[in-house]
Amino acid sequence: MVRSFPEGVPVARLKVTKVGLKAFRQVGSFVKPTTHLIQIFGHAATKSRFRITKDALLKLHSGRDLHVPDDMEKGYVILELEQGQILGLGFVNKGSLRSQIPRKEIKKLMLETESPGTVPSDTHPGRITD
Amino acid sequence: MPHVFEKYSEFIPEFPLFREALLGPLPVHFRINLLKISPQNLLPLLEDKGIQLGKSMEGDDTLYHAWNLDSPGNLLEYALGYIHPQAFTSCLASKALSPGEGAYVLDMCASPGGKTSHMSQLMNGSGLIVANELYPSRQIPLGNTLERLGVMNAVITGYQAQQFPMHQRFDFILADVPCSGEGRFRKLSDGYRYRETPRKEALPRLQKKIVLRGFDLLKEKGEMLYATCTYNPEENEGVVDFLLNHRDAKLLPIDLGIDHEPGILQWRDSKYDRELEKAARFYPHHTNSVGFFMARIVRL
Repeated sequence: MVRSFPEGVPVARLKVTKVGLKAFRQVGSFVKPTTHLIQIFGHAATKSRFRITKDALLKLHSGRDLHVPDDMEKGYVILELEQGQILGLGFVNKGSLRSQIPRKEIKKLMLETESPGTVPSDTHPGRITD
Repeated sequence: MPHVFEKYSEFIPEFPLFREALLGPLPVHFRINLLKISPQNLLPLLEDKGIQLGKSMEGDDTLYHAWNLDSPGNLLEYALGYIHPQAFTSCLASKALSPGEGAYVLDMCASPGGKTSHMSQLMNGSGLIVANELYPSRQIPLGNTLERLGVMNAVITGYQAQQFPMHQRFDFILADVPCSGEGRFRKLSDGYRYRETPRKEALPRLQKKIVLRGFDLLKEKGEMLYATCTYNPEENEGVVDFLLNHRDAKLLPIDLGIDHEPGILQWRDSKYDRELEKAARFYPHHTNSVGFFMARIVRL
């Protein structure tokens, strides 16, 4: 970003409290992209994308796991809705997927508005796009 | 109803219509955030939810009124940063300044970040915006807004706007200064009363300091937009007139294709520079939005 300013780093002498967008954080042995970074660049990913229904999202949001194929590799996947909205990350381990999307950002109300009257399914495994 | 803005009837045109406009609710308005989604991809999602949309202005695919929506903040599209609820006239401020790609921009009073993120969008995420906000408690919503909307070309600083360090100069500066907020007033209920506060009288002094510092921070040929959401001439024309008397500044016309009135040249005992005719006053009975004042200033 700052390389494009030939006169030098423009904010170098300012007392800055926050810079740009936090991209990654270390979580155990993983370097985890932040939700906001994934929401911007996730559409460019060619693998590890996991498409879910609104009902499945509601289930994840309530703190429950989704069943996924046992042979899915352990690690992070990009969660997206059926209409292509990139939501954030989920974590796959031993046949189950857990949401990594901060609950404070997507409120339950938003999901109920999405699919009024529907009940989260216990059996819907989601759909892998790659 | 006895009206608190009666004193402005001498310069607000069609004053009865102005008063009538204040009796209705402010319609929900939002901006599509091009940093995250295109209108072509977003609009079907909203229309599927039965939201009735109306384009706010010709030639802009990102600004919409939502006629049957109460709380846009409850939409998933809000959480994902696809939309940002923002008054129509507030959106016009960033458009009036219109910083280009690669520009170096200062937003002197940036929180809660609607205009900062709009400028980032207009800059196509390039260049650099210094989003300044003095109060730490207001830096939090500013940071949250910029993150949610995917703004990557901004840094946040916490200086007093009128004392922002003179280390480097900027191509564009937005001075959306603290003001009495008269333009936001709508008579929401019989129990709602607009209150005059002692703080209001002190505002022009602060605003004059901010506009002077902003101007001094401009590069040669750099542009600053001075904006308030108030009708009070002492906070508007009075402040810009003060700048014109103390610096080698000129005003540029504001031509957004939106109905507005020119700045006034006289208020009570004060006469203002003729340049003020190039300033813009946006009234709620013309725009069905928040009342705004804008002056586009260039450093010669």
